[in-house]
Amino acid sequence: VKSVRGRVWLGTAAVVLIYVGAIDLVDAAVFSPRVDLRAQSLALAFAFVQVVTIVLFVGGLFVRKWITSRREEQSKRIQREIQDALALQAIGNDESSRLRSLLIRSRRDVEAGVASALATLLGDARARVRDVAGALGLGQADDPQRLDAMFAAAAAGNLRRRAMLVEELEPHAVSLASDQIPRALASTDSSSVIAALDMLRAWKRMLTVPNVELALRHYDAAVRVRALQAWPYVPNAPPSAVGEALHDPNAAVRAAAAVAAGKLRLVELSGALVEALSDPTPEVASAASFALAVVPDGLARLQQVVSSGNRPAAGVAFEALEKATLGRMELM
Amino acid sequence: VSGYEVFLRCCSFAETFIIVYVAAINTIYLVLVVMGFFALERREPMPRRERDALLKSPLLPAVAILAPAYNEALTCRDSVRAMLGLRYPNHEVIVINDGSTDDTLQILIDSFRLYRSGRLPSGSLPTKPIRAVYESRDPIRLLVIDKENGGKADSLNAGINVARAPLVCAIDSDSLMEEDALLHVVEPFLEDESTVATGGIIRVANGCRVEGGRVVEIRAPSHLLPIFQVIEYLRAFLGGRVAFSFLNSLLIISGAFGVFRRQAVLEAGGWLTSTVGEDMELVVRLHRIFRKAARPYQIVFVAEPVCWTEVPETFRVLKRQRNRWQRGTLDTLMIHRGMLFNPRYGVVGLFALPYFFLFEMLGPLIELTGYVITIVGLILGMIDPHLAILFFTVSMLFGVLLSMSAVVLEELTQRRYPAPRDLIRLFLGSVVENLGFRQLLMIWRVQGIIDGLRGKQGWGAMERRGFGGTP
Repeated sequence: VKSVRGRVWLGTAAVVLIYVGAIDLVDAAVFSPRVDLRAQSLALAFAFVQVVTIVLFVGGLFVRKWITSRREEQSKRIQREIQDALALQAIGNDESSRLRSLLIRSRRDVEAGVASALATLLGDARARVRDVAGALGLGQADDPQRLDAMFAAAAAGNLRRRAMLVEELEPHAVSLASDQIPRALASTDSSSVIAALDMLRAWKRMLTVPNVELALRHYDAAVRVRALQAWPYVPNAPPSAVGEALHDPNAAVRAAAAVAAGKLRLVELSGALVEALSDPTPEVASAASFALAVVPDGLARLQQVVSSGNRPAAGVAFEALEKATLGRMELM
Repeated sequence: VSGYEVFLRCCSFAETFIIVYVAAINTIYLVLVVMGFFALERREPMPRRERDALLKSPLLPAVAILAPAYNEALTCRDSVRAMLGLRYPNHEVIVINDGSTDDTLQILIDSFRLYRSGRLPSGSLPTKPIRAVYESRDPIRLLVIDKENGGKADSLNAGINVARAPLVCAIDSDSLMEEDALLHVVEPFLEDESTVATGGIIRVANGCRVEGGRVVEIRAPSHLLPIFQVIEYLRAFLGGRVAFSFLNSLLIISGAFGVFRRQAVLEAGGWLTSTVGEDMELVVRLHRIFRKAARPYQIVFVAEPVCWTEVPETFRVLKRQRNRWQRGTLDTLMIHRGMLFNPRYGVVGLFALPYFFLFEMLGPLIELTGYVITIVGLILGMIDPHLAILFFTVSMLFGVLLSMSAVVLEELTQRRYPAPRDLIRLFLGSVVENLGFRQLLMIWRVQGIIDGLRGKQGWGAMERRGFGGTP
């Protein structure tokens, strides 16, 4: 980042220096010898450089616009050809030589076309496109080393990068769940644990993963929250741990535990969820009410709380009851 | 020393001061525009593949769009439809009906099948009483808060109290957002957890073809007044704000389009209701709080997302708007005067706020003084007419250059105007706006300062024509 910032500073300084230098040069070469008053000659040089710059701006811009529109037209044409070749490849034709020649013409467009095809195709068609991509040197994630590197990048990167890589890694979820994910969950580095849990949550694949309970005892509250968000998608994760998390000192963890209890329909936690309706943090109370609205016998408990009139728990319970009645539980 | 000599010396000093001031302001503008160009250039547009992957991801944080509405019957239905149609995996729309006296609420109730909901506020910011909260029976995530009139800031505070998402997007209910705008403006939050606020670019919708709450064809306006404002917006957003954001000293996130971390806004105490410049004031307050506590944070301007807004087409409404903007700037600078030139607040205290104080607030006053002195000097024969004309020409040319730079920046980085005739219009507008329009703005801004110092409050009505072509 520092080098990028440096480039911005350097570019800015260079342009300003060139601009000031041009004014000085024009002043010295053109106006100073002809005009007696220094301020007047400098002002004339200033005006001259400005007019020249404006002319260059306008002229340059129209030339650029013309070149760009030509390039775009060309790109549109080649994209159509790429899509056609990939479609034929997907149904079983051998289009590798055609794609190779297109790759020479525009590598970027072919890469984008392959990625787009892989994102939409399934089964044999996807395998055919993936194979031709590998043959063309457009590496895909099937290579184990590349898989490791992508997993590491997802763990080390920011949320934007992770969200993108998680999507790319999804077809390899089963193999990752037996190796890289348990290793990451046992790691002492919070970001690795969070990345592994985010993957489980995003894939929603019900994968059996060792070491997942470690995350719920993690010192970092952010890890505990992520663990509870992933909990419903890990069949071997012990449901009883969610009950303990409902009493966590961190409010975000309590709220996540309430949501997990709802998703897992943990009827044994109904009592704890009713208690959570009176949590001082509104987000926890709200999550608990929504959880109660989906667990068996939860609606009756919500009704009791509403009838009791104890505010603010009754208010929170009323909203959840209302949503459940209207069948709008997806909003919760 | 005679009185006349003292007068002459004063005039001479004022003349030198104004020349130095004009040189300084123009140099800073130039540096900001150039810096804006390089900062924009370093930012790669999000590839389609990446955008599609992000749009499918459940890892993206939820966003609540807060849209205060006061007498927006003409545009509210299309705007809400456009907001609901944004491409983002997890967002809800919260319209805050701020005691409208027209049919805004009824139109929303009828159009979106609203029912009176039991949803309770979870935030604790003080606001005017909420009459009711409505939600839709349809499978859409729309919430309408009906409250007593309290102004835009009060409405936003009511909205943030009811919102549950970790991010809130404050927009004007008459603005039209592009489909991917929300995704782009949320990007800095994904890239850096210390991001507390982001602002997006606002573009002028006058002249564009709008269908179903979406801008479907982008054209430059045909009238001069909106053309001038297109250029102004480009200059302000692509030049100034990009550069200030690069320096992490962005002081304004437009009230028409900004995303905030909900927790940060709640900690800061929400939007201030006693000022007309609540958007700028909140951002400066966030800078103040985070810098004072030495907490890492960033406030980012994102040039890609586009929110379209209707700008005034009459001098009367434009005058009212500029008067309000100037009072807002004055209010903010008065409230946070302790930050001015204060090294504790880093680049915000030592550069951004002084820039706003010296050039944005005092600028119109000094410019006006310059014109008066030049005219008086010419009448009294104290100023060489040739030099005065030359000085005026150079200043005007510099103004043209800066405006054209903004148009060039637009074409290099955004390329929103596909037709060459639009570019020609904008270039011509860049020349013409310096021959009267900017001087007129200067006078309105001076009036704004005077009104602000006299304690004038209130927004003044913005007359909307509404976006055409609604099906």
